[in-house]
Amino acid sequence: MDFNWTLFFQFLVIGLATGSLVALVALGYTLVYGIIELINFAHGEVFMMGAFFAATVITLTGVTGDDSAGLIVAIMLLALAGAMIFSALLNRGIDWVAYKRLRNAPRLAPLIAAIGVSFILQNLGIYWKGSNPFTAPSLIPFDWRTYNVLQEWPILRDWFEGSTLRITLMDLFVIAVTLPLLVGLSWFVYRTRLGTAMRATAQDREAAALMGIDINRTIGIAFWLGGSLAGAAGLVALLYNNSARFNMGFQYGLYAFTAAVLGGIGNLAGAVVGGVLIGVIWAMSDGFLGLYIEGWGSQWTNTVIFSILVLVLVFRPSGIFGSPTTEKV
Amino acid sequence: MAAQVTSVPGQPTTGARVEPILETRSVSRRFGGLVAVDQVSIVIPRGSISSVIGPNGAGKTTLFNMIAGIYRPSAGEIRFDGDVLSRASDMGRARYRRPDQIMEAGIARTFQNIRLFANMTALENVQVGMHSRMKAGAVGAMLRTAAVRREEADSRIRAIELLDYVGLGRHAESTAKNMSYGDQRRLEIARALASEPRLLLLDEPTAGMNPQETAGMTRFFDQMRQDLNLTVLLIEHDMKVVMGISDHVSVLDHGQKIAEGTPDEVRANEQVIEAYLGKDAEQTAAALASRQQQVDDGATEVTNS
Amino acid sequence: MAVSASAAPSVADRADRWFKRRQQEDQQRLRWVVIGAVIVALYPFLDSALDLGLLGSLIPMFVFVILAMGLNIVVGYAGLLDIGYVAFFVIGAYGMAFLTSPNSYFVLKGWVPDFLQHFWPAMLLSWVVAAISGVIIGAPTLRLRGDYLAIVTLGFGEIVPDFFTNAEGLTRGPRGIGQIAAPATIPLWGDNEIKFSTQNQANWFWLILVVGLVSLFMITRLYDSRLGRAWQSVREDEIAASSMGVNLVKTKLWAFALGASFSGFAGSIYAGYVGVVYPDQFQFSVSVIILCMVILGGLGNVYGVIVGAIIIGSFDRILAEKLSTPLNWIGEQIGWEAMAEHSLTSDRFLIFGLALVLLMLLRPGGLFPQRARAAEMDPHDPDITMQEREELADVSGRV
Ligand SMILES: Nc1ncnc2c1ncn2[C@@H]1O[C@H](COP(=O)(O)OP(=O)(O)O)[C@@H](O)[C@H]1O
Ligand SMILES: [Mg+2]
Repeated sequence: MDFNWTLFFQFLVIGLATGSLVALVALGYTLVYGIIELINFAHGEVFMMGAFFAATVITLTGVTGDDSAGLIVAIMLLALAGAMIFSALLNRGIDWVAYKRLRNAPRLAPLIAAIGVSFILQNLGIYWKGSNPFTAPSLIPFDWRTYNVLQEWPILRDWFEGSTLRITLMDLFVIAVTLPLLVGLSWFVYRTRLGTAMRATAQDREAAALMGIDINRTIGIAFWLGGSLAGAAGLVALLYNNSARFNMGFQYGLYAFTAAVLGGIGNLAGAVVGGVLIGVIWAMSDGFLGLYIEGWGSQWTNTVIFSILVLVLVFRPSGIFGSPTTEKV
Repeated sequence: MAAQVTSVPGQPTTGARVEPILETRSVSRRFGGLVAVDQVSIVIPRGSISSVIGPNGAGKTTLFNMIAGIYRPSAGEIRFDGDVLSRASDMGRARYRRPDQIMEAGIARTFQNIRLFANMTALENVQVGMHSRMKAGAVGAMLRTAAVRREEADSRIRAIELLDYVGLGRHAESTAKNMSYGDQRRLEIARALASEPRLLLLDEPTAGMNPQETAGMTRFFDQMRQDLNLTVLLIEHDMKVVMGISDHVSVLDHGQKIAEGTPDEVRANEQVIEAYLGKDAEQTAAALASRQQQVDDGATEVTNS
Repeated sequence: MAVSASAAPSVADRADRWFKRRQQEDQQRLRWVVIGAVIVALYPFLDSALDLGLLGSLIPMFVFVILAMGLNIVVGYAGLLDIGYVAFFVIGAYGMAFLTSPNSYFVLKGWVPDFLQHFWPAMLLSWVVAAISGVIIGAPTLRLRGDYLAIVTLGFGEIVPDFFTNAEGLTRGPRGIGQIAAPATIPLWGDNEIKFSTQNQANWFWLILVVGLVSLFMITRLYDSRLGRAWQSVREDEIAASSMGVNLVKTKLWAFALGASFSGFAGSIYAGYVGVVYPDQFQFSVSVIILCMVILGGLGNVYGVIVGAIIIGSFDRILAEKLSTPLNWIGEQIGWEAMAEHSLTSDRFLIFGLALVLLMLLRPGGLFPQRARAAEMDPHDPDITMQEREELADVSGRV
């Protein structure tokens, strides 16, 4: 059978969009892990809560897809800001209530507490929006452009003959939210004093403390940042999937954690690359592989991603980029 | 002395040539850019008390950890009783043994910063030390066969003997973390002895002790060597501690071996004095000699009491 | 230094005396266990006399007690956080189903010899299979650091049930496998016999009680042994344990395999009792609930864990439902609609989550802490050299 490049590109685009979403969540895991070596198991639920908050904001404003584009953009910006602030507060609050006092406890104690928090938040999610999936108003029109792929290159023309690349408005929206956040984050981490303090703390907490860095504040910032990124991801996920559910954080959270591990946990750039990779694998397994492998379908995606998680942790715990001494941030 | 401990008389105590029990051949260990141990070769004669001394950060503990299998050497080879314990790839086919295999082969150790099983009793700590000399498995434990019961009873008796031997007989049931610092050090030794080692590695065993205790302890090492047919390898950053009892001293500085020989030879070595004392060498050498005197006095006191 | 002990009691006597004291403590505890077991064993009579009808909830609850005892070996004794323990439960349950159900792929293919298609031999085999799967899952993963290990076990806890959902040809997928065998009837004198069917709840109750007691017996013996000491030493300080001759991977593997084997017991009995297995019974929350039981009762203390399992199990299966009635009544009286309609069963996650967080913050050793374990989990305990443990990382990474 001929390779269906059109579908391949379509799922690739879906994968890239989903992947940038996963990357936003993965960054939260990596930021916190880099500094206090805690797998913040509740992070997926912070993301879920961000989506819920965004849904509430959008519903309250009563905006629908029929309103003017300007209004829709304004409301989306409002929901984005709201979800980011809400999730940041939530994440920081969780740290303050549940993890802070366990800083010197054995590693497993805060991890167990984090699992507890994750359960609490899921239950709160049920109180908030019920236990069934709910839909958000579809604000982004289902609109797309198709492009012919690489028709000008003579050698490639044979392969891609007639293949098209389809990009939806939704994909652009995901990129429009994600890219500025990633740029802003790297600016913060690499160009500001606080960011430098964070990197120093990640590398050697004691030495950083000796140099006069306020460790508690740095930890706090990691939670603020991770939370706000999760909130943004929550809004994006809500609009992208056009639905949300109380347990969405479990799957996204674990996929994002896999992404963070894949990129080398503690490594910011790694989390982004890992996120995109996981997103692409996710999309391909959900929709594309079934064309070629009999019986393949989205039901195997979980198994694939968790197998990646297990294999990476067992054989290459420092991630695909490798050296055990990757710069931690 | 506890009656069960076999006494082996007549071990040579000065640097007589004996077949080495332990030998490191230009072992190195790097941590990132830092070379903590740099091509160190030492030879430990069987039945001796040997020492590795050097200022803090010289790489002594790292060397110990390589011998005990906790770190893998980056280069070089370590041999014990003719067997290769670890070998980095530069010396042929790389091979490394795990710490538990090394202990089973007959090397036991203590730690510089005490690492007892803090929440276990003294007796249990010693029993863990016997782990590799016991056999009971999971099935035997569940069925609690006669053999398993006997083995457990024997291990208790042997543990109490060992605790007696290091002077902790009354503390058998104390939780390790509640014991005094000196007792914890002794307990570490008892735990190490429980594996019936042929070579005992002691990492700064007298750290934090006053001169009297230190003197008593060093005498005890000598006693132990004779009673148990042991070879002892001591680490000290404090030179004076080892001078009185060592047959052989190696000196590390910045990861490199800068001198070795009898205590007297080492004491006289200029490089050593410099490594330890920097510019004020002579002045402090005098101070060192007088402190040595104090220690000797302390030792006398202990034996008289 | 020298010990001269002519007048003092001999070494053997002292070792003995110390041991006798411990034996006495053990016997006292045993007495309580027997008393407790007898009281529990009498319960079915009470249940039928008062027509309480709780046996159907108590039997699965006891299955969870066995699961908690098994997980306690892994988390409490060996200090390995396993948050995917449900994987072994699945394997135990499906093992029973594969061997004894007439709908099972293996039986249909004629691959299961007749003598294995019965409850008891199948239970034994499931037990072994679960233990072996513990080794298979543990062998590559046990050298990982604690938190990574936890995530890997979670991964397996997801993959294994997913597999049973998706491999439809083999497992009949979400429909599950039914008609799983119950234990054969045990004939007694005359017409009396012990039957295991849905009408004989009390017999199931006693069966699970016996299995639980046997498990308890084996587990307490395990802890008080060379292996038990090795577990504790590994938990406290891997580097020191390894330097004292304890083979880290082997010791941890034993914990994994034994822990898994008890959930093989639990899984196969559960499958036999319910009569049908389907993958939805085995979600991540099951792992967390079992973990919750272990932590609530007191890591490392089997008796505490049993109590913890009973507390959580009874809330999960009985109290949440029963307590909703008075709650709703109060709600009606005070005219608060939300309260009048609220069902406590929808708070399960909240309550388990709160339990985990509060326990970690306030009582990391659990309600009935094992002394040593509580001290180890205590953030204020300066003895534990976590930092040092990290720094000598070379050692744990080797088989
Ligand atoms: N695990 C490690 N990682 C990085 N550096 C280490 C490690 N262990 C020891 N070092 C470094 O190696 C050098 C030698 O240390 P050590 O062997 O402990 O010295 P000593 O025992 O002679 O005081 C020191 O500079 C120390 O910081
Ligand atoms: Mg040292």
